[in-house]
Amino acid sequence: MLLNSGDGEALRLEMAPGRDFTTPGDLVNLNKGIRMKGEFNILGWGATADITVDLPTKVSVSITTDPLDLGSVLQIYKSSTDQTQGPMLSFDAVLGESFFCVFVFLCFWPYL
Amino acid sequence: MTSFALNGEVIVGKESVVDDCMLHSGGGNWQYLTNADPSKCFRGAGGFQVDILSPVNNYFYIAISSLTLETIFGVFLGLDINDWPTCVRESGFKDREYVKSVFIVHVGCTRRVLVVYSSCTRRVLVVYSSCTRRVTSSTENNMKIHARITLTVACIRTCLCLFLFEVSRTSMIKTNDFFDVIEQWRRGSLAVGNGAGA
Repeated sequence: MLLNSGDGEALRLEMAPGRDFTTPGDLVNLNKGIRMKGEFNILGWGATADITVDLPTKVSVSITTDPLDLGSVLQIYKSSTDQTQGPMLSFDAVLGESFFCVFVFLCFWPYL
Repeated sequence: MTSFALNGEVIVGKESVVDDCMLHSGGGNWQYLTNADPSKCFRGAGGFQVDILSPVNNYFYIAISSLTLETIFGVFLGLDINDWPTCVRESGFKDREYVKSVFIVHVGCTRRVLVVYSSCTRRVLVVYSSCTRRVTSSTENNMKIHARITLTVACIRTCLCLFLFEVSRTSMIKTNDFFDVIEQWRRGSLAVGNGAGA
C-alpha cells in the first residue's frame, strides 16, 4: 500500500527527478520522482493524500479519509460491512507493464 | 566542485525540547522522536542540491512533523490550550496514525449533529455547544531550538575556484584598503584589539 501513515511526517514535498537518494540514518532519503504527501485533521475528521509521480513511467495516487457522517443525511464509509473506515482511492499506473489498476472503494450509505 | 547542497533540520520546543522531542542514539547523535508530543515539539526538515554538471544529482525536499493548533499555540506562542477540546487542538496537519478521537457535538438535547468516526477509535470526546473555553496564558514562553545543518563541502571548493578564477581573469582585487588600514594603525587612529592601537 502506498500510504505510509505513522512515519511522523504530516506534510512532505520532495523532488528528485534524477535518481534515488539514500543516506542511512540521516536527512536525505528520497525516492526518484516527485512525491507530495499530506495528512490533516479537521475537528476530528482526517484525510491522507499521497501522490508519487515518476514520469514517464509511474504515477501513483492514494487517498484515504475517515468515515464521514453529516447529520444522518449523508454517511460515507469504506463499505456497508466496514463502517470503521472511510473511503479510499488507490490509483497506480506503470508504463511498460500490462498492469493498470484502479481501486476505488467508495460507498455511500445515506439514510435519515 | 560544481555542486551545492544544503540539508537542514530544525526542532523547536519548550525548555525540555531535548528530553521530550529527541532521542540520544549514541555518541553525539540525537534523533527526533517520531511520536513526540505535537504540543511540545515541532520538526521541520528540508534541503536541496544543485549540481550543474550532473543534473541527475539535483533534489529538493521539505517536510514537517505536524502543524496543529496545539503546535502553534503550545510551541510557538507558548500558550496553554490543554483545556480546549481535543478535536480542536489536533486540527491541522497531523499524522493520522495518531488520530484516535471520536467527535460528537451536542446541541441542546439533540445528539447527532455531526459524528465522525476515526479509523482508530480509542476514546470518545464529547463537546457541548454551550461550553465556552477560555485560553489560559502560560509564562513558559521560553523555547529552545535545535538545528542541524549539513553543508556539502563542494560548495566551498567551488567558491574558491570561482574566486581564484576571477582574480586571475581581471586582477580586480584592490589592496589599497589594506594599506589604508595599516597607515591608520601607524598613526594611532585605528583601535586594534583591546584599544591599544597606538
